[in-house]
Amino acid sequence: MTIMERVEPQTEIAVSIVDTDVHPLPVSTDVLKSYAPAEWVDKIWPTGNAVSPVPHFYDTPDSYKTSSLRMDSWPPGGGVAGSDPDFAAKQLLVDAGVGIATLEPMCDAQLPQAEHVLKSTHNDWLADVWLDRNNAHGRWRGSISVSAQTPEQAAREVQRWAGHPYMAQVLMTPQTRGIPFGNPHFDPLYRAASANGLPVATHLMGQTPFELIPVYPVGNPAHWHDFFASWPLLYVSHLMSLVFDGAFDRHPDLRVVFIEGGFTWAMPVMSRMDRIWKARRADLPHVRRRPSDYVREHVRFTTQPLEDADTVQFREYLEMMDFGDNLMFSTDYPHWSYDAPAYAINRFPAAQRERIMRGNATALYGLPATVKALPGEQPQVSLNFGSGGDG
Amino acid sequence: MIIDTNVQPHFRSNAEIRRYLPEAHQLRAIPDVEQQWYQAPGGDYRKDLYGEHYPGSDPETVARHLFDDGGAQFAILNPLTRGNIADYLLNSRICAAVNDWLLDQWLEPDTSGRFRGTIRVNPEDPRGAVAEIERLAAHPKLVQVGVPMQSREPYGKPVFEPIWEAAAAHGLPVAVHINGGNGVDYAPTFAGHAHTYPGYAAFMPLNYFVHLATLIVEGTFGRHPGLKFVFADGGYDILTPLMWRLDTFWLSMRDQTPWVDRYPSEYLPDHVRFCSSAFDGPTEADQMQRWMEFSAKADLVMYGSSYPHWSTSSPEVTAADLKGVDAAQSEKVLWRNASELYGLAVKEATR
Repeated sequence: MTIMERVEPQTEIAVSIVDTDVHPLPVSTDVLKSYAPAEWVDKIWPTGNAVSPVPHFYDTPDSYKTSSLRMDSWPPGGGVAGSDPDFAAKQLLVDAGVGIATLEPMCDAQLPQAEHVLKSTHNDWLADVWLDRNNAHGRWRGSISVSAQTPEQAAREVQRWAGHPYMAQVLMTPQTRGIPFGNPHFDPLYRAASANGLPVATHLMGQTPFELIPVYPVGNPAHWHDFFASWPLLYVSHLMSLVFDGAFDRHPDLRVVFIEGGFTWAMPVMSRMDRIWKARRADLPHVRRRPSDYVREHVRFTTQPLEDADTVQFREYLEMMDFGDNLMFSTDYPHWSYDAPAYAINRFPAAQRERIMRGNATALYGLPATVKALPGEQPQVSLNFGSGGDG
Repeated sequence: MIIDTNVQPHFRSNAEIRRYLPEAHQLRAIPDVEQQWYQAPGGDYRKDLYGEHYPGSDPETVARHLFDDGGAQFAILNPLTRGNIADYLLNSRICAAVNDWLLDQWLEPDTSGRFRGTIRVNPEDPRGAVAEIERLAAHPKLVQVGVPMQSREPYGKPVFEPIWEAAAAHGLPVAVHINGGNGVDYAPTFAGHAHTYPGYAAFMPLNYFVHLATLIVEGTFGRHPGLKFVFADGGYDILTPLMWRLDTFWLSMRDQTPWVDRYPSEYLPDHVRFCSSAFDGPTEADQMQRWMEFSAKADLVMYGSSYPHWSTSSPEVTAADLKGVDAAQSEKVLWRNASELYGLAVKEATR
């Protein structure tokens, strides 16, 4: 399956792009199973033929054919898209110019213990296959997947990986069975993450038991597009809870990353929270600062999928939003709705580009300024951050 | 010049509704108006309006506050009902009682002609809702149909379409407003129940977007060119980002819903209006003009006071919010959009 000649990387090149949303997959269920405790294998994979034995309830375009993956990202050597670290490195790091990428495996299970074991198994697999054996270049960063159902156990899992040189963040599902993120239920997890300087990231999960699809307060739509366009309101709900329920006051070092759920909505949501807070401060004695101040300090958003609005108007909106310290570029590789770096850069205001494409992620995750070049990689990636931006 | 498109008149007491119910239902358990699980600490309504009778229950006082003090020329009355009652037939009778009371106490006695009313219907009883629209649509002072924000299915689902069809056939916009009482509802946020009143109040209006997205994607607007929805709790601040998303994803998925033959956002001007709210809009005054231009909101938003709610915005407050906006756009928000939507002839003020 290796398609590149394996040579020890030598040349150092500057990191100009960090990709904060990449999805690796095990090359087969058997490989993943080999990392699971033996007594759990039959419970988690009862039919033996699914990586994550859950269906889609809202299917993405042509999903029977594509499995929501980019058709050109299936490795020529075999295996599913996102399962070959070398081919992913070729497409994403060499060809697309990404310097460092954070990996977010997607998995879910119904029962609390099964969810914990499945995620813990993914951590062992990710650490071995992606962060150790195929990371001589040091350009993959991992996520510690934890169960939101069992925060004490999640805290222990964070502890188990804390100090790992390439585990960059904690990852939990936002579909929390009706418990908003600001609920003290999550405090053990937030304490462990904060104590170890690890941000808590969350990623929308389409492949999940139906009752874990959020119950929309006015009922769920029928189609993928009205469902998916509304889904950011789940992040809005969690964000409001984090602020109004005092999570950032209880955990001053907590950093939260909302992945793939949009970010342009954060401007109206911040002013909405500020207006309510001003009018109802007596109801929120524990919220000491303006809600938007908490968001700007504690919360980051990844950029993909960028909305396909008029580019000039979109840039004006982002200028007005002044959110250049809070956005982190992402591609969602190898998923079908991938945002290429060259496409994305052009949509950000010139003055925010460097921070969004690199700086914010580098600061949040403590990433190096240079990495080892891969064979065939150009030492300089020609991305003109400083241009007037109408290219 | 002012038209106030969002006023909640109340019964003088919760029990007064029983006078308007058929005998068989007069002794049923019916939630009080302020029996929401998320009542505002201190009361949902303006503290200075609580007295012997309920806030907003005396037509003369309301007229004085809105018309004499506030300077409005018309006010659209949109009374609350009592939640999505499990017994949907009882709920339909509550809606009819509210309608009969509104005519009896507010619209018929108003000789000044400044109040307009809403036909409240129960979407969980589509046949009953259509019958109620047919019963009252000809009344010249009933200018819209009213339904709750709360629902167990979004309003684009086909089960509701006969109601919207009846409303459109009579040229009546459909106003969606967070209801009073309490009902058979899901949790108010996508992440479950809110833990604080502000957490509830900040999020709840945003649920309109699910109704809106489904009305577009299911083709309801496309099939009923005259159908208009008014989202009366505001929430238009999040319209632009979420419509951008719907436009983007529609592009990838449009072969599944071929009846949506244009960008979803293109339906907004002909089909969607919002009442203004105290929680919408940027906190920086100098951003207001540009912000109104996104999604052409000056054509969509209509001044609504929410009187007698605690968050009531007087026309002065709304006008101050609009200070950075050019005069023509400001005029649209304060009265012109409402005048066109409800067919209210406004005498141009001499300024």
